[in-house]
Amino acid sequence: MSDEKDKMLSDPELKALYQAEAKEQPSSELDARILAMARQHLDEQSGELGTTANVVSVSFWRRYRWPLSSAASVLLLSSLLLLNLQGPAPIDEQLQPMLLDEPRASKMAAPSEQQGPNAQADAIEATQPVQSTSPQGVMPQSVKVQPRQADVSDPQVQTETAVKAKTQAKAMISDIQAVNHLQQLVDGELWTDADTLYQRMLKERPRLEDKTHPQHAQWQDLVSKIKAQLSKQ
Amino acid sequence: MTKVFEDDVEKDPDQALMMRFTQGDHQAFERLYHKHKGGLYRYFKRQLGDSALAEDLYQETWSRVVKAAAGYEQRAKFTTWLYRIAHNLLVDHVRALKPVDSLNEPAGGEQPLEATLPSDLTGPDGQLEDEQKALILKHCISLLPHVQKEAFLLNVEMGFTAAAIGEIAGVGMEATKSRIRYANQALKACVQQKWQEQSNVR
Repeated sequence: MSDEKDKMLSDPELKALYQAEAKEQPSSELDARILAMARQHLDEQSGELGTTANVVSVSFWRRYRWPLSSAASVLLLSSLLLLNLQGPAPIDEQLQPMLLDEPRASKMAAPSEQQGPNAQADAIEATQPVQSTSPQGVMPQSVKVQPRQADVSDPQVQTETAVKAKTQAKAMISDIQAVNHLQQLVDGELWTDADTLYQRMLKERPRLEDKTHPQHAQWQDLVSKIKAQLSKQ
Repeated sequence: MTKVFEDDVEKDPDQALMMRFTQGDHQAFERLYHKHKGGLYRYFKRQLGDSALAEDLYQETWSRVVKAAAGYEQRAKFTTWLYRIAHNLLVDHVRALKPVDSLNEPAGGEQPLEATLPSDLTGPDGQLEDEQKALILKHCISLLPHVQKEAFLLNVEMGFTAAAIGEIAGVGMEATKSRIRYANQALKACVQQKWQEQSNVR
């Protein structure tokens, strides 16, 4: 309907007359100029597309190298932090409880070998410059340890504790243990080994020759057995 | 959605050519250009009368088509889009160069009707009469007010509907119809009058 009305708008006679004279055309130079412009535009566009393609071809890892490396660093640090939180405590922290529990450790080392209050005192004796055979000798040790517990955060105290720990570690085997070990070798009739240990204890623990030493009687008994056996051989 | 787009392209082959051009097909543009170059050129030439200015605006129109090709959307027919660009350029340039009222004046550069008509109008040939009337019409078109001239040219030259012309010129459909009617009436009267005058001279 609308098209029909539009057709009625244009006068056929006028239209025919118009079309008879509608012959003007742009010059060929103008045509060439416009077509060249369009071609140039396409060339420029394809050039831009080529440049874009180069940009796109940059790999994912290269394009995001800074964010990725930052993320990896954060991940690594977090992992290390978590491992440290759950992992073993530093050596100093490990040593401190050992030192604080030193009397208890001695007790645990030879619980069945205690032969009265003197045995305990003897165990402590190995680590103390001042020897005490009295039952009360335990008390000064405990008293001495207590302040250490309070001052574990002091660096000087920590250094002293570490040195002390090394010394005490060497002296872990007490006279009681040594004599007991010798007793076991004798009981097992390992005379060669018993003789070797005997010679060594004689040099390292001359106090066993002291008649007042709690293990003196046991020591003498063992020595006599070893000597008797060696003389037989 | 895709079906609608394909239908649109089938209905308007110009759109398909334009899409091919945006994808880098220069031959598609050549076809599009050769199809519409005459009508567009005459659109400028008939309204301006100045060949140099008409060529400038004509070239500028195609330049804008090329540059805007990447953003071309199938919202309107290609020809509507093309002549909308042409219309805007025409309005901008003519208003910048001349007072608005001068658009209603006969286009400059047009030769007097007597100079364009053959001296011998007595020939019995009907074809010759049509040629003479066509020349008279051409002269009468140049005398039309600008808005009527544009509406008439778009209607006769390109076969645009009143709605399409309204879209191009940015006016309502009824106003466009009125312009076309007035243009037709004025041109008929003008051709009749000029033809009569020539006959009286004979």
